[in-house]
Amino acid sequence: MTTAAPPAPSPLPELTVAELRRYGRHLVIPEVGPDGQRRLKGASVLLVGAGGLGSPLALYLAAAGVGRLGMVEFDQVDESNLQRQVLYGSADVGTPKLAAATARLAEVNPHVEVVPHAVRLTAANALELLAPYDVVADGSDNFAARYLVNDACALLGKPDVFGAVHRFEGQLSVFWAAEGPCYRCLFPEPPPPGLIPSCAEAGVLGVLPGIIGALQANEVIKLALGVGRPLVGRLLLFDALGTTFRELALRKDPDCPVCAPGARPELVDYEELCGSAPAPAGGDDGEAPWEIAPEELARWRGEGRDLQLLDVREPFEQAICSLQGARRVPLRQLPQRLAELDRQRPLVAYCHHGIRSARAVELLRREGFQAINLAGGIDAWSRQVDPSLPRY
Amino acid sequence: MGPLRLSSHALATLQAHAAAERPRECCGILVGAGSPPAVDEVVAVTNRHPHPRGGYTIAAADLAATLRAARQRRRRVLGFYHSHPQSPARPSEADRAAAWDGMSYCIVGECAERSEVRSWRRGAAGEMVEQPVEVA
Repeated sequence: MTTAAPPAPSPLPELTVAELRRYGRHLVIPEVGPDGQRRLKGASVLLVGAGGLGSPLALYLAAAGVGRLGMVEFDQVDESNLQRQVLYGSADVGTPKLAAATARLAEVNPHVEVVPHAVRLTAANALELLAPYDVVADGSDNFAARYLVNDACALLGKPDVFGAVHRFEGQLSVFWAAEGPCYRCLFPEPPPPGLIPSCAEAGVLGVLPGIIGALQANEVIKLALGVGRPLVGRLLLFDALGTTFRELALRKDPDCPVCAPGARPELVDYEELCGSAPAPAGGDDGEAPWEIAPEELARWRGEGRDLQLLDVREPFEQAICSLQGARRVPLRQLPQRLAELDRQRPLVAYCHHGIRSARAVELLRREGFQAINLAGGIDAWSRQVDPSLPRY
Repeated sequence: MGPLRLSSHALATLQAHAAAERPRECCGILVGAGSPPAVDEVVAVTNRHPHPRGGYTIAAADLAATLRAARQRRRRVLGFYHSHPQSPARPSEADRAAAWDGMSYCIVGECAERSEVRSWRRGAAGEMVEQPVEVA
């Protein structure tokens, strides 16, 4: 009863006595057992989105003992989320979703490591974000992220456990280019902006993401265990009004722009095409922008603007290349070394691909700094501004 | 501090590299994965030091290439190694000054005509602290 599965770590991690007690109902199932539970403990899963679908996904995967749960989410809890996003409670309104989710999941299962990624998924950071994980579960609510997750998973050879909800209808599949079709085999290009209403515009029955998200969790667990028949090459449609499931067989598109033999896909940000981009410079509340593009930073520097550059990479990376004039403070040392930075001057933080520096910017803003993240990091700088900088 | 875990193949590789380069110092990069991390790959690089009998330098280009290749294989750089062809496997002042936080520094040294392999990490006050070596 085994099937295709992402490679399990070797050797598998051992279970502690406390874990043996906790997972007793799993251990007695022949298809799971102690070895399966160790596979779950050794598994790493990235959840893209911690909303309606991400809530049941995160809760059930944490409860099941998946060892490492990454979460990509940069939003805050809004009161209108609570009708379906069961990770959060009323007291969480106004707080970052990742902070609330991390606390809740630690309560659900302290044996699970939750890795928060407080960034927006972009073409520049998608590969670096997804690469360390075995399985990706897409709980995003927009086409831009959906296409990006699919394309990045296809490039990396990882399974994309896909779920989507709309009013009373849900969809579910496992897009795994190595084993079957990908999302682009069905829908080669994103829909034009405005054609598909967002969740906020169309509405969604609160329980629906609970059902679809739980089914996604089931697919993730099967993949991690290497048991059962994953939903590869099949699209499951659920109608909540009629309480019916339908299944469509999917075929791999021999001309798929992403997963066909010989295809040379490049990751693209689809925000403009899909009309789902956040405001590029500042939010509705007039907040300063969080990111700056390399070309824009080059222009600022050319104009002689007064700003601090902060390199939050590790020293061995800084030895390869760095931007002139940057102060070097690895991210892990930043909380203890804030006194080295000037709170009165604008600060641009960078790292390799813009992920660690996004965390640095969050921290610095909480501490009152005027901090901005260099989008795509020094790698994007090297590609777009100064090709003489070595890439690594 | 946890031990530096080396596969037996990795240990043999860095010892062979040290022997091949003697009387010059050899150097290279330790790559691995897992939690706790274990070194399962030793990337031998050319010692770019102007006086390779008395020091070692790893070129930024070699480090960049190793990082890139490691990331593609879901591995990471865990540390570095070099040899002391005529002295014990203890870090010199130059080794201490060049050490980065969070990295393991493995040294293949000669002590009483026997080869020894020891590992060190930079401590909180900048001192070098020995890290036990475990061979699996």
